[in-house]
Amino acid sequence: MVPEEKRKHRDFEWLNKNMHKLQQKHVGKFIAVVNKHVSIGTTAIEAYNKSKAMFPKQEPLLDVVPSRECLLL
Amino acid sequence: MIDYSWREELSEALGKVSRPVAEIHMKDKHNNWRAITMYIDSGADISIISRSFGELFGHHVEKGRKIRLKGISAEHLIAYIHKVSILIGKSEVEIEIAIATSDNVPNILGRQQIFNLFEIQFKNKKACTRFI
Repeated sequence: MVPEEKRKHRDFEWLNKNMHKLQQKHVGKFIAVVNKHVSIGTTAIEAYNKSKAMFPKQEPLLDVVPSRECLLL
Repeated sequence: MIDYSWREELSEALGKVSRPVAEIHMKDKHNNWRAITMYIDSGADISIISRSFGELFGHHVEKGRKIRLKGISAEHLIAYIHKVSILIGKSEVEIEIAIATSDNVPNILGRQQIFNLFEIQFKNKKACTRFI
């Protein structure tokens, strides 16, 4: 795995452990994560652009903060 | 082989729950790879992303093939099918993905063109999903 892939995977693992904390305040928001820094937006484009402004050379891991309702997939 | 650890999320009714997610790379319309998290759903016929992600990835949502999707509720969801390349680990796969017309859907990795390429094991005791 190249360093950038490792970094994104670390952010994925970090997000898996911390998503429940983001659910306290940011339900429904789009997020872009680089080095555990979470950029938040009301659209994916907004979250992505905020992240790129801060980390122009790094590609963020994108996600959305889920609601706290039961999920039946 | 790649393992994706499950995610701890809050559920009003159940408290903390663990859900299977995967880190997927998806090629956008400008051939850039974007990293996105998706729920792994063996019950979903097809993969789906919300409109907002579709637009970020450069898709004109309504230019795809229109479909109606049905979950367990009575309501239907309108989405449009687009072709995208995704990376799971080091395996690049071209799939059809539904892009919803709203943001009110989770990103889901469904069975179509995915589950026939990988042996996918939901490993409860290790709290991870294994793609082989």
